[in-house]
Amino acid sequence: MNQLAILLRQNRDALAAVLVSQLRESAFDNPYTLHPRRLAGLGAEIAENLCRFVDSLDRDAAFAYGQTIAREGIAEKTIVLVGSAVRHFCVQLGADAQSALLWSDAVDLFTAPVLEGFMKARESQILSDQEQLRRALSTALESQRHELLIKDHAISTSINGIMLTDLEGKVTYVNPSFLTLWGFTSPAEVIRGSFEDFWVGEEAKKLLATLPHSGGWRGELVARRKDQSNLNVELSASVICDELGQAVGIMTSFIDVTERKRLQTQVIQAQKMEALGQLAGGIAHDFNNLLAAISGYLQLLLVDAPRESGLYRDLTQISAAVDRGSALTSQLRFFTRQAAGSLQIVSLNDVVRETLQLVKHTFPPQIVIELSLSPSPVNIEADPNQVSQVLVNLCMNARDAMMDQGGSPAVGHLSIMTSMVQLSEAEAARYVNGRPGKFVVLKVCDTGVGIPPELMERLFIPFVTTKAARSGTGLGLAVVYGIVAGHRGFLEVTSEVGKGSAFEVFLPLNEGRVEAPGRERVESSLSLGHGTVLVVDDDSQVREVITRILEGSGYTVIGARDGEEALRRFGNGAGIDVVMLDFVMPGMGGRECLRLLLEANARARVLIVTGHIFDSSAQQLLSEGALGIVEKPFNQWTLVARVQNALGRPS
Amino acid sequence: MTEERKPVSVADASQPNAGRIYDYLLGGNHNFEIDRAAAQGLLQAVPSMRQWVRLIRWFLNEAVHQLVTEGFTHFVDFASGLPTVDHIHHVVPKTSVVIYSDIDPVTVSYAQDVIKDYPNVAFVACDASQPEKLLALDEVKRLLGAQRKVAFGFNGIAWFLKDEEIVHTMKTLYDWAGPGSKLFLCDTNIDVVTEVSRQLDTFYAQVKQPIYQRTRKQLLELLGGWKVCPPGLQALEEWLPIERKKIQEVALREGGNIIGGFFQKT
Repeated sequence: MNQLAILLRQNRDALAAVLVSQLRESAFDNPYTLHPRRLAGLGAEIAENLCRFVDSLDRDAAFAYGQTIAREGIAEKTIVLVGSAVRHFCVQLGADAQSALLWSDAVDLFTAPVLEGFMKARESQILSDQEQLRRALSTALESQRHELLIKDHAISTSINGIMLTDLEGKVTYVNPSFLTLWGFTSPAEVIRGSFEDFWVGEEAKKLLATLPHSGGWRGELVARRKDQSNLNVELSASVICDELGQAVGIMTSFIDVTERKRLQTQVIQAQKMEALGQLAGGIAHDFNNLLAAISGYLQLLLVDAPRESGLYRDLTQISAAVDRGSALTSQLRFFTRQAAGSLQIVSLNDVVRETLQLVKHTFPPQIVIELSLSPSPVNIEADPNQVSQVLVNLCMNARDAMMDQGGSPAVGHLSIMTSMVQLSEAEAARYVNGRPGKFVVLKVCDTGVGIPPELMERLFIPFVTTKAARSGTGLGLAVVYGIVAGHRGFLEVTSEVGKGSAFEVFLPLNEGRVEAPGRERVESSLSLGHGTVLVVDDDSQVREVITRILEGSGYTVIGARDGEEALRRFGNGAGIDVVMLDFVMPGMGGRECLRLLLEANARARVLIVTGHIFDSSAQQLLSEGALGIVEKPFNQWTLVARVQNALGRPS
Repeated sequence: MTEERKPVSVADASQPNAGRIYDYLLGGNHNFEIDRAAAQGLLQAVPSMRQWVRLIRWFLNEAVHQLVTEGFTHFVDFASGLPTVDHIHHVVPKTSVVIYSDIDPVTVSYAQDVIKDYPNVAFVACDASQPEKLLALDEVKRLLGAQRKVAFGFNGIAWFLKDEEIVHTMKTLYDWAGPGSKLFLCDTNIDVVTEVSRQLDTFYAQVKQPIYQRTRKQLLELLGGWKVCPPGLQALEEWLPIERKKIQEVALREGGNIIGGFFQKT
């Protein structure tokens, strides 16, 4: 070991203390990675490495050490200060100028490779960190590119129309859905256009003026398509801000609510029809009672009046009027869905074919009738007479629409189609009362005058008509509506003024086999009879008419104004042969009264009297023990025949 | 990360980034010219900023050393930044579990690359104001298992959060943690409002990252059930073996102050 090395080793701890002091002094100049706790150890290590170098003069070791302390996190400034402190300390170790020079050379020999190693390591460290940063940048750019791609895809494929404009309202971007909604084919047709150009009225202009201050707006506007037609849209507009929070543009997204509004209108319409149905049902019931009384008394008078007299002719006229009134209430019953009728499985194709044979003779030859029947089975469970009525009414309306074209000769095209469709949940949602499933469709299209939009929502309301007062009752479509609803079906109407209308009737498909038609039952002839009949009706006139008819035919009649009185008079039923029981009465209704009568005497013969003959709940009473149903208004022969039939059947 | 608080990404070179400015102040190489220029503006206003950011890192390092000595083996750190050589996983034994988090997804992806060789270390994306999201992550659940005695790091982040966010974070961590868990935290202190604190407010507002500096009392009131450990919230230099007179000189001259301490769930 040389003299310098020995001397240095003897002073190593003192040197370390100087270096630690210097390192602490420079603590904040170093990168954060060099923790203050490490400084004491680092000072001792530098002193030890200098001692070894002075002994070995190993430049490679000094170079490697320079790299090590670079990795420790010493800053360039600190290493220079440390080198200066080492030189200062060592030079002071020299006893004279010559030895001081020797020390200076030794320190230089040490610091040169150390600095070289240090710089090499720092360079490598910086390159490595920069490479890491470059990788981070690359990752970020890729991530941002991917994010932009996703956002772009989301905007492009959004089912909402999206439009971006600058603050002046100049269009800068639209997505494909916007183009579809507005009927454009290319963004070029829209870009640089003005926001206001796409709307009807002044609302859009006001919106554009206030949006930068309000920040956002949501509501409905009427848009103008490329073809100048209107479109109802729900609009959501918001201001786009840059990174400094300054407004730079407006983003607007749109949903087409035309269909939704249409469905909302239809739902309201359906509710209105339901309410009207109940109202009409009540009126029909009361009206039937009146007709029953008038008809009954009329028939009693007709029996007494001389056939050749003026009185008889007058009474016949009244009778004809009663018949017309009766027909009217009969139609109203269809509308109120009290006419489910006798259901059987029938082919819609058969019903259409048979009906068309009857109807086509009422069309002038200038109107071409085209029939297109479904090749696949289109069976439905329905009352064929009622379905036929639907087609008759639709055809008559179509005919009138084509004959009522401003005085020009009636020409046109009527097409009747049947088909089978399967509706999904989404497809069914397009129709009021629609539901998913398989349906048979009857479609009747004409090329007539069309239906004005303002009439569309009142189309099925009874007594609403566009026809001249003499040519229609206004019940045709109401009857169609009632029959279709009564068969758990639904309707869709489209029409354009001047071009024509299309009615689609959806009825549930029945996959059963078509049933053979039933035979009409032959009524027994009228003759005198005997027995005691209990007549239960809250309407005193109806009660009296029935009483007089039956008494005139030899029967003894006991009247009761309600269910309670009927039960009292019936007792155990020993003295009563037949009960004629009104179905709809205040208080105890017909059903409850029937149950209690049968409880009192299980062999009681009860006939239900109702204006709701096809009402399923009235029909149900047959399965609950009633012998039959007598429809109001009735004639005396029918009434007596029903009583005779009841008496002839085992009790 | 929510859209509401989306800082400039660590890899977006078009704008100054608070994380990269922080890196530059720490003496790191993960920064761009735009960050260095912004940092110079900050240094002009607060020349001692380099010292303060180093103190925060050194405090974190010192705190982890102390917690290891106390036997803690599970660490969860918020707003970690890049997990460089002095970070928690370099201080703790290799068997310890360390979960770092940061709001910037690019920092996260970069950091995940850095720690990929450490099976007990994870780096996840998390806004420090929504710790419940971190605790619900499968990777976090896997690493923490049933262990609820955990040390939480919350250093140099509280001043970026609103009061209600800190209250939420602290309550969430407290409710989740088991007895004996600790929180080590440092933040600025404005018991005396100085020019430095005003300059900091101005600077961070300019880089679109507002800060919320608080007094010692205000900060303690936000920590909920966490009980402060002796000797309490102290100036950071009090925790470190450095030349105190240098810090004190700086503090006296510029009026800056950062305090740190330990808190425990009893």
